[in-house]
Amino acid sequence: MNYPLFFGFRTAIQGKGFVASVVMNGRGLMVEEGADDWWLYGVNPGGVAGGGEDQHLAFSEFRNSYYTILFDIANDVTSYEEFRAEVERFFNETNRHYEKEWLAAVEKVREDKSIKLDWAQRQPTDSTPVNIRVELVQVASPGANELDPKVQVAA
Amino acid sequence: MTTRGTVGLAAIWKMLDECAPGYEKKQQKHNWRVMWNGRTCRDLPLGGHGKRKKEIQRGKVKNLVRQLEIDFECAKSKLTQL
Repeated sequence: MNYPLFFGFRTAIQGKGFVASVVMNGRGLMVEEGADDWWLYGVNPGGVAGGGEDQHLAFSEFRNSYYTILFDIANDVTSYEEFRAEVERFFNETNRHYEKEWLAAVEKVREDKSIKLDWAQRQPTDSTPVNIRVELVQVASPGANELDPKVQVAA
Repeated sequence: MTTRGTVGLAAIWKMLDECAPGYEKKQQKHNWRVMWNGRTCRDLPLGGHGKRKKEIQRGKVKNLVRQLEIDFECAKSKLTQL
């Protein structure tokens, strides 16, 4: 069984002379590749993957991989505008192979209400945004701090 | 074999030579950025430091192949671990 997931990460990235807030609401496919071998493959953002002995470790490695990509982009560009453009491009380059598998997994989840994860609730796809927002931090404020949303199973 | 199996980085470049002709790569601080077919994969690990043979988890290689939309059978014929 592959699990279609929604997830989100909130972070602030330091670039060359700027700080950017990155609020990402994404989707990916959690796949059991073998015994004690789970992988989360990104659909949006595409081209990110993380693996581990269980789903939690795979998710944690996925998150770390995502962050290293943001760090690489920040290191590579010379302006906030370039950073924003590259991050948006990265997020919007859908992994079309895993998207097809994600959609098929959503259908299975919808057909079988017993399919669930003990660490993620079911969430209808039509009411869940998939997007990224990159904003320049002009004035730092604790009001901008935000927890990552809980992981959800797309249904 | 599970995706905890690994693939040598040199073998990955060779696979790309044959299955993604004209690909480009750029070493970044944390990962290789690989581009082909108008698409980009930013999540290929550098594979560690020093002179030891650089090994990449199979799941990362699968992700690379799928993200760049490389013919999977071509990739699998060169990297039998996939």
